[in-house]
Amino acid sequence: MIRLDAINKSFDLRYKRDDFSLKEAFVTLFRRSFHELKYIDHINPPIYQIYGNKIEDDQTGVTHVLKNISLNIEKGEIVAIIGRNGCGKSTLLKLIAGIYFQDSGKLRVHGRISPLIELGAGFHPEFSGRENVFINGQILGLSVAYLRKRYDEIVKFAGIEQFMDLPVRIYSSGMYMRLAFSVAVNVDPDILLIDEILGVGDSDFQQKCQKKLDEFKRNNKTIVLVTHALDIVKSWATRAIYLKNGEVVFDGSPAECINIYQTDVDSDQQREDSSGSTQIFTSFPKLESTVTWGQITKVEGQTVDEAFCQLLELNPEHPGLRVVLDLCNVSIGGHLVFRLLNTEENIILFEQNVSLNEPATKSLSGTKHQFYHLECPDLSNLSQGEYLVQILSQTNNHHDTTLLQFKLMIQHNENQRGLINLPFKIEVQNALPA
Amino acid sequence: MHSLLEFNRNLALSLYQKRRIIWALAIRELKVRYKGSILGFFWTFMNPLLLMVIYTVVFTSIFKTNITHYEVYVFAGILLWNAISGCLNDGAACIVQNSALITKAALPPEIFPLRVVLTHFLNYLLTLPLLFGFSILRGLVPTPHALQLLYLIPIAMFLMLSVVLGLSVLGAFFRDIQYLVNTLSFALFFTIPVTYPLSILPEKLQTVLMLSPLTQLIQMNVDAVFFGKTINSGMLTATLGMTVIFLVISLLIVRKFHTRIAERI
Repeated sequence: MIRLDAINKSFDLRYKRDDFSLKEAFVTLFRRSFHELKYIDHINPPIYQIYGNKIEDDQTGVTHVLKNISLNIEKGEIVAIIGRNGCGKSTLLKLIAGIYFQDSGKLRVHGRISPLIELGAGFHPEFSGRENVFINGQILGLSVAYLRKRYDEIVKFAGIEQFMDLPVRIYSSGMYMRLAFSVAVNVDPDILLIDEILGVGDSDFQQKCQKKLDEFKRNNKTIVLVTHALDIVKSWATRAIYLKNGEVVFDGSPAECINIYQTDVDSDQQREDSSGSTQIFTSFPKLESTVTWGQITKVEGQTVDEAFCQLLELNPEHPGLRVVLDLCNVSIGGHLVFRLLNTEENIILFEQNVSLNEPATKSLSGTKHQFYHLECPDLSNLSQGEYLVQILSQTNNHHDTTLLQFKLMIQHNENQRGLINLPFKIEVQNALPA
Repeated sequence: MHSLLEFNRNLALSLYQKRRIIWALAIRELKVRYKGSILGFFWTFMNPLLLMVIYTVVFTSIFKTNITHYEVYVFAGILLWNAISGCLNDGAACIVQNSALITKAALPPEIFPLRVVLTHFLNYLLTLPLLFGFSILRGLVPTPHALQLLYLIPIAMFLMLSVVLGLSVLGAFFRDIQYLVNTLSFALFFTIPVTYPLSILPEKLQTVLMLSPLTQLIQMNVDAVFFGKTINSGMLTATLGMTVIFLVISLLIVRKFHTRIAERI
């Protein structure tokens, strides 16, 4: 049984900076205003301060993550918490797990908790799979005797018998996750907290996991689940909660909750699509630099409050381009596409497709920023003229959404025509060259 | 006052509940140190052995120290000092280094200081047979007074735990504490009677240095294993007193900061 009564939680993001040190703490003691401090210490402010949506409107650096949350979760309920990245889902789970502590409000938990927040957190790369099963099992609260008894079963479940005596650093990420999951499902808590760990391994392994989870359900365990997999919510949860910006928007039947969530996301999307295409960025930190070879105009794309485009700059020395995007609040398909078009002929001169299906993007959760640096360091082969640069999100069935686009003017040699720029030399001599 | 007692009770309870995992992590840490090296555990001896040789050469041939079996004296001191400085250095870093276990596996941060102390003193215990072996080899048979280690080591561990508990939390909040401790522990080494006997110092300086519980520990250690003397009960009381003071300071630090540790690492 879990009771939350008017829970509030905020984070002080000042301290999230890597370089927060004793010196600064000391200085802050004497200079209460941190706002002052950050501009003294940083001629180049940290990247999130350029566009940090939540930080900019609150100069103290405090983000209110959960606002006045009251919930009762009874024994045997399977509660799914859904919502966009950064809405406070994981923070809520970590509060229940006792990792974070609330600022105000009451939180009571009855029963033994097993938090499955990130699997294999206790794995040590230098140790063999066997040793890691034991240590990780103990971290999860299992006894050595129990682990010894279940060892064969755990290994069989993971399906990596032949690798158990090798260090886990040589495991593939799939093997690693499967082993971690196999240990984790052996826990026997009253309350199970699951954060985005479903969806490990191939479909065969998925089925095994599903069976295990059904077993938990049959045994009348309380389960709180944070996930983006809406089909799991629909088929499996008994109750769903939609969190938006730290507040409960809906609490009730999973099907209804998913509907509300999806309409919400769709309407947000539409608003972005309709207003986004006319939104003009004006405040890029380095847009009005004194670059002689070219110029960026007509920047269009996602709305500014998404804290989306962190940086767009031209290399002042020679033709080159750099973009930094923060994809933490952006719903994107499986691929990121960089595209360069010739506007007169409307042909694609260059396109690079980047698949985002790497583990790094999977763990993308909460307010964690995901900065993508896109760089085209050498554009000197482009002839003089106007170009269109697009950055798109592409789903697996090639449905494109424009995230950002802008016009790029390149000027060098006035007497040049054509699509590309080639090194060219002309010399006049009186005699025939030797 | 009541709430402080309540807090301490809960802290002790959480350490007790996690005793198995603390032990398992301490053992793992010991294994990690020598994993992948051919000589493995042998390295535990190599470092103090080498230091002992260096100090012996330097101090007997250059500074002409008058202690007989100086090499045993240095070795006894270095082994304990290694455990102490290991506790201080790892202690300042332990919460930050284990952030995944704290924020992902929901282990309470307070268990890591205890793990650090356990690891280093287990390592120390494992090197003790070498100390006695070496001592006998050099013709210095330990007296029954060495048995005083049976209570001296637990006291040393308790003292280090009292210090490391607060230090680890501060280290999680201010990263430069780690560097500070590294530097300070190097300086501390010269204030303790490892390379020299306390008696060669002017009396005033002796009194000042003896205020440090680390000096007291090292002195009691050589009294037990090298000089074969009964440990001075006044010194022992002083150490215990210092331990209590450090423990109270540490507990106050932990109580003030512990709710925010997980979000700062």
